[in-house]
Amino acid sequence: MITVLLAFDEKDSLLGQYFQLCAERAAQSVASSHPNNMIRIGSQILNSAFLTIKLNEVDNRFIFLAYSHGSPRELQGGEGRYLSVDDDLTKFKDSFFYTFSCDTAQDLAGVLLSKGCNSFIGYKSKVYIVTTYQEIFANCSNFGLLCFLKGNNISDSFNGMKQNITNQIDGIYATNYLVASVLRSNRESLTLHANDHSIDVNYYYKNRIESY
Amino acid sequence: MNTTISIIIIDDLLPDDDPVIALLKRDYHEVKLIKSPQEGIEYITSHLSYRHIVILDYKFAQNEPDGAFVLEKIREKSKIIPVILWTANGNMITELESFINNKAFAMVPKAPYEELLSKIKEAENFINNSVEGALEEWIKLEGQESLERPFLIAADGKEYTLAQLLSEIRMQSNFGKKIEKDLLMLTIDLLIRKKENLK
Repeated sequence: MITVLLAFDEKDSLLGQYFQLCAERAAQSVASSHPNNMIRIGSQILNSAFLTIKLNEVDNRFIFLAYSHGSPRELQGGEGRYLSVDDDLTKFKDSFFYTFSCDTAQDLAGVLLSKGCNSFIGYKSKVYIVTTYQEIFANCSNFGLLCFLKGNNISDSFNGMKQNITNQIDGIYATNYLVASVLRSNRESLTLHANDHSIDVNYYYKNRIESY
Repeated sequence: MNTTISIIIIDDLLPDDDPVIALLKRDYHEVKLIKSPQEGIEYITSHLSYRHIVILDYKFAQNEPDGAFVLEKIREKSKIIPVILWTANGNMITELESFINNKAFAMVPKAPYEELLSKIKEAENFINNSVEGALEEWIKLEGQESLERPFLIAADGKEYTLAQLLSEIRMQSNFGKKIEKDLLMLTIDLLIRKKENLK
């Protein structure tokens, strides 16, 4: 069984619907591919205090998914920041941190990895969605997670995510150049930080057999 | 008429029935004569989501701002709207440096009209061949009603309509420059991956 913490700000006035779409798709993908212990943290409980409680309830080696606003040093929900470089991030030791949020690959990612987090997939600058193309953008936002759940290692999942954005660009640029340019910009912003690129989803199974 | 470009003339002495207005109305979507420099500034800066070519008189009545001031105010909001400076024959341009620094598109005499019409045509080509021109062509395909609908949302909480994107490009704000850069980077990306060729 894998443990997944799913943080999402579905009540956000601008992007709530999109965050929820991505979170629901991610939850479905996890549920359909692995036995899991899923802890959902939606807008009403998306705050630092609640997250700390939940982090203390789980063992290390979990997958953390976050769909919310962000800045270089923190993730933000309606009540303000719920995770920041100033928090105790040692609970993220060995975790796989996967987020659709602005800028968090700048500082938060590095601090997480320095505290033992295994890998981070997120964005180093502003990311954008086009309102009338939410399906395509949600597909791109979650594709790396899908690759990972299918058994690809961190590195291949990240590359698969980038290739999927490229495929989406190629499918749309002839009819909608502006949307394709936004996808390309998001692809450029997409960033992987990892201590061990070879880790795959099996690493996150409890009771797994260690091989030496 | 085959253009959505509007001609804005800012001139306090030009009569409403001046032949140049009738001449321009044959070719352009709208020809608007604004007699007050201040009103001209306000109109242009509040209509940045539209395509304009501005024809600007150099000298206004006493106590009114001059052309150099008007151009400076337009440039505070848009670096790329073509502004053609229109001067009466014999007028000495004493603030040439200011016009050059603020990128006047051209300076032409008030009479005869040929030079003005020729420069307006150049300005039209400039707009049509720019990123904003390409973007507007695409918006036409999407439907003009899409202009005011939310289009782009940043995951830091900012929202933009297509009209705002055009305004940002015309203002050459940091975000407007980013949109332009993203469009150019996509072109380079497609060329490098041989999805498209230079024809």
